Amino acid sequence: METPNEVSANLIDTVARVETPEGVLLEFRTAGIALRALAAGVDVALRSLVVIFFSTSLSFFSSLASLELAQFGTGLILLLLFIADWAYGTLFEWIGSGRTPGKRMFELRVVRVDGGAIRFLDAAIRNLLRAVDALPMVTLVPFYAVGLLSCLVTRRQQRIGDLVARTLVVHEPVTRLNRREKLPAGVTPFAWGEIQYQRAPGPRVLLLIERLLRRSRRLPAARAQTLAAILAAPLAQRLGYQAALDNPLLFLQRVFASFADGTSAASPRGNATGARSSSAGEPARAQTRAPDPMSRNAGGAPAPATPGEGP
Amino acid sequence: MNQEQFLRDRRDDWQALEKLLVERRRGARGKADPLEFSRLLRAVSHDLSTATSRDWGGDVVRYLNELIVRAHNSFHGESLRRTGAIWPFFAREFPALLRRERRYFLVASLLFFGPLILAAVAIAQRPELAERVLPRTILVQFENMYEQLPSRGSEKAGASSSMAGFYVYNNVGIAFRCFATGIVLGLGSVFFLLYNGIVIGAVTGTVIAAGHGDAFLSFVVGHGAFELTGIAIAGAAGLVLGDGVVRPGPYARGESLWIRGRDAVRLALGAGGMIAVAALVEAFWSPSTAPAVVKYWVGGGLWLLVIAYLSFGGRESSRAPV
Repeated sequence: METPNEVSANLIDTVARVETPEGVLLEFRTAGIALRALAAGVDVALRSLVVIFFSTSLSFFSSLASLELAQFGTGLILLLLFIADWAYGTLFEWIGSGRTPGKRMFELRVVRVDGGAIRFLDAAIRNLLRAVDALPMVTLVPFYAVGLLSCLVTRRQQRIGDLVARTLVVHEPVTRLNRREKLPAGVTPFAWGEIQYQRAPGPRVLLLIERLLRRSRRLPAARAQTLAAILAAPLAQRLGYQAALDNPLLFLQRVFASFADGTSAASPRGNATGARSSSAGEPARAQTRAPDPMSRNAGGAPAPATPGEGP
Repeated sequence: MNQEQFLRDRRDDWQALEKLLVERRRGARGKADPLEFSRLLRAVSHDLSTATSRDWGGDVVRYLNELIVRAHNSFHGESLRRTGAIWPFFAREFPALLRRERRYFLVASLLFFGPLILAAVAIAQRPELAERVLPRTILVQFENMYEQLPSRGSEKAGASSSMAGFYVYNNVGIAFRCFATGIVLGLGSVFFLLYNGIVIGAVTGTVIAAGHGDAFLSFVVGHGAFELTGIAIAGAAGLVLGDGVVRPGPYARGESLWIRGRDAVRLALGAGGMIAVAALVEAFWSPSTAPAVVKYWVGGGLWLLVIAYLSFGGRESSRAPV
């Protein structure tokens, strides 16, 4: 059952979901008209440059060569113009698995609605029907009003050609793993007695904290603190944290370091681990999971020994 | 298992899959072991399910999602670049498909050849009617063009190839536009068929009325076989598309459009091929200095060829159970 929030998110989100034969749900982010227009602009520029290059070099060489060769060249250029007008999109999307040079530049790709790579006929359909999407033509300049309207009213932002060919234009920026979204390193857990370890937050809360922490580096500092404060204030109350909350983000980091060790959630062992790790410092670090990869990130730097935090 | 452990344990498979995808994209398909590819795809799919169900969100899910999208495309996509399909398409598929959709072809032919013949006959009798279709200045150009037709044969291959380029650019473009606008309930195709029929008929009638009928008809008879039929077929393709919108039958409209669209685009591509052949004939044979009688005979032969091709091409495959 979808909650009302999920329903409205599905109406607003530009995500198309596809289930693969492996039984996994893939998400495609459909590309908006702005990116597609930019990509189309690059393609048009590229085509024009090639045609202009060949016709200027022809007009240069035709003064040297015979008339007949020049006419032969004219024929070739008209053929090139035909290819630029009608075959460019089809050929590139077919051979480049859904990407023309312009789409490549803006990280767009044409895929079938089932998520598969497009085939020749799909590419041919959507590119021949471009003639309709490009309407109205005003003195040979395509205004793309039809395609634009179609993109705006269809759920998955498809122009007419996409609807007939059953294709989507999706945005697929390349995500590199672990470049961003590292958990901050060198955070000390709370000392035993500083908070009430027996009132550990549940796994959902810890997950929420983790996601905020991973995102926090991409947020402006002030924004990250504001968001952290929303979570930190009730948590501090629950945990009986007495000191002032002047750095909510740091507080959440320490909460996470104290509890997120895989055994934290409300079990008695969790309390014990937390207690030991905070009091014993260095040797206990090996048992707490969360800080472990962080020390790897820090390039094997010595773990933060924090005598000040001990009781 | 928490997220950090998960990243550490599973990363090897992810990197292996990435490497394999790069290899496949470079065309080194022989090297990439399909069994290993299949195993990796399933394993990483499982990882995505894990990451999603744990609600980890963020980069891990996004990264795995993209990785599987690429792998999915590579694994389930057809092997592209099958240029070998071109010959069977023109030799068998296209004529067989046209016969299957012959009702549309019939309607399109009536819409195109009907006004063409009517306009030609009417204007040959009463030339002043032509000015209702085209401005006088253009009609005069056509009259003059065929006055000195035989001399065009003295031009060499150079001029012919530049004309061939123009005919491909112009005529195939007209055919494709005639097809694509069929999506508007078929109305676009109907308009282009009528319009082109009337204009071509008007030109024919004008030139005949001016007394250059022999020069004109012997010029157009050869390539007309491919060109006029091609335009009618492109119009038929547009009608197929429009009919998919108007009468979806048992399907939802989107579904029907997709099913009919695939047939329609095949017809349109075939029509494009025929018109490209017409361009070659028009550029290299039609303006030759051969006597009109020879041109009529050759032209008649070409018409027979086109009719035979469309009636009998791919007969075997059309009779085979579908």
